[in-house]
Amino acid sequence: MNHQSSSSARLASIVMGITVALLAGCTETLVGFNAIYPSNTVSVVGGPPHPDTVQFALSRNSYPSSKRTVHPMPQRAILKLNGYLPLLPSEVTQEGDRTIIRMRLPVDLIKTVKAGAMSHTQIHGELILPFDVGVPAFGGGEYREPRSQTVHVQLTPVFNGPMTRTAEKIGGFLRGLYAAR
Amino acid sequence: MTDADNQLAKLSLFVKAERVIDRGQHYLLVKIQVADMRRVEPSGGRADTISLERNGLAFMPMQIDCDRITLRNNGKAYRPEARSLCTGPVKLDNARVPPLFVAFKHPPAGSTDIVVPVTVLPVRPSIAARDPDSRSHRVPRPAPELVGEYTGVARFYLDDASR
Repeated sequence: MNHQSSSSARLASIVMGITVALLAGCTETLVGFNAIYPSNTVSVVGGPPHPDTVQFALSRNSYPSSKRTVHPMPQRAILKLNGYLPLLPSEVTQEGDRTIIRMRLPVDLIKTVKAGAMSHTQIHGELILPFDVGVPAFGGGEYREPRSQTVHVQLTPVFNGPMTRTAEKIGGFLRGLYAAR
Repeated sequence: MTDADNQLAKLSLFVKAERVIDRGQHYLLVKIQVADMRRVEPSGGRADTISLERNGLAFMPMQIDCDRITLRNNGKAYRPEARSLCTGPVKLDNARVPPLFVAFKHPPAGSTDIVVPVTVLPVRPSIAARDPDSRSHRVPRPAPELVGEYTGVARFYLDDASR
């Protein structure tokens, strides 16, 4: 009898645990998107995740090195994510020698990710950085030739909540075990 | 792209059509850029090339009026939507200018033509080409016979927007 009641109690605790885990899964909130810009030739640095915008920093290294003068045009940068219309900067600010660009992400993308349909999916696309190259003219001065630099973009949704924190703890524990091996 | 005849570039345009969504509405986004074999295009969408006259001896600048680009599907013509990034005439000076993005209301499934009116502009000859004493035989020379208006057509087979 005692044995039966202890096993049913154990079953009930397992069911409750699963229920809590499922409920916790529903409370995961979208923190934003981690953006990386893999390129061997140019440097674009992604900013911290934000719920509805993507932020990145451009520097002199974001454009190809040239003997000619490069005139960047960050206000005309284009972010084209697969499946969505191209985006233009919503805000461009200068911080020292870096240009910070913020672009508002498509509402359809955020809605889909929040609904969980693309929660573990990377979103790919390209970042097009227009610039002018100054060509010296014989009569003095220079005329400008339009060019552009294209960088691949990978966006990964970032969530926060009980499940994510648990997964981080388990991941940290496993990494610790691996390091102590 | 370079051969013994100093043929530096083919006059061709790379056209890509991709189904996109914006505020619940489906659009067909058309990306047009000067064809460049070194470019790596992201996956997704369908692509075609518009080839113009091929015997140019130098890169010929082109002008495309984005407002005059037309989508033809099932006997119906579609004009660019207000969501298009590109409006009015745009000059393509070289192969590395930013691409043009034109959005159309997504047509029904079937064969679809993107009709692009292209104006090939005269090229400014290089300093060496203008010098009658130049001994360089590898100087890019413009081909004035190519200057003029062309109509390029890129053809795609589209699925239904809801699929």
